[in-house]
Amino acid sequence: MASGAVRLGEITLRSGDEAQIEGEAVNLEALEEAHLLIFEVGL
Amino acid sequence: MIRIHPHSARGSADHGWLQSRFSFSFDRYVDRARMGYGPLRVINDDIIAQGGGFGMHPHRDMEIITVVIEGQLEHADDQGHRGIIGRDEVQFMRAGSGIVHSERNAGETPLHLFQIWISPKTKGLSPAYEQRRFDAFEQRGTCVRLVGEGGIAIDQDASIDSLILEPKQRIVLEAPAA
Repeated sequence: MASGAVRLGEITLRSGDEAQIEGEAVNLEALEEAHLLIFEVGL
Repeated sequence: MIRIHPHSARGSADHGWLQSRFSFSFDRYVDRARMGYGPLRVINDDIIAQGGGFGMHPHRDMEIITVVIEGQLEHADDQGHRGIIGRDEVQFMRAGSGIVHSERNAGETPLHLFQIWISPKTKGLSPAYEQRRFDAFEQRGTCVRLVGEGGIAIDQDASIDSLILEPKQRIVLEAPAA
């Protein structure tokens, strides 16, 4: 869950966007100040 | 694998005093394809106007985490817990066998919070309450563990981290250990 804009690999996340990531490391770069909430859950 | 759920696809509700965005089905927003993710059942992005709030209402068998982004949240429950939660604090309420609580904006500005519901492993636990300040909350470039190992303990294999990045700052999020 992003607030602000971040680049996630080739994808740009903006405020309110969510990324569901399964089983891989990802590179994050802030395009502006960004606040992320990161959830990890066991399935 | 990465799936994107854009902000425009979230559910929403406008009650005047309450503006909500729903990551998963909640209240009158029902999308059978968006019922949660594993034990993660609710992520609500709420903005509560000054003076607004939820009166006393019940919960059962849910680990409820509230992260305040801006403003002040006042909490009261039938177990005798009272608290004001601000930006660098996180509230945890274990509904367990049953709890009744109220939440309202106690500040002079709109209250912006995320409320997260996680299904517990165990049903019928005794209700519990915790409110914790995170001094590192404003640090840039560091994941701050709010919930889970190293943070507030809940009855589920789940964690929540907060990460604030400055412009151009980069970080690698490692895949969780199998």
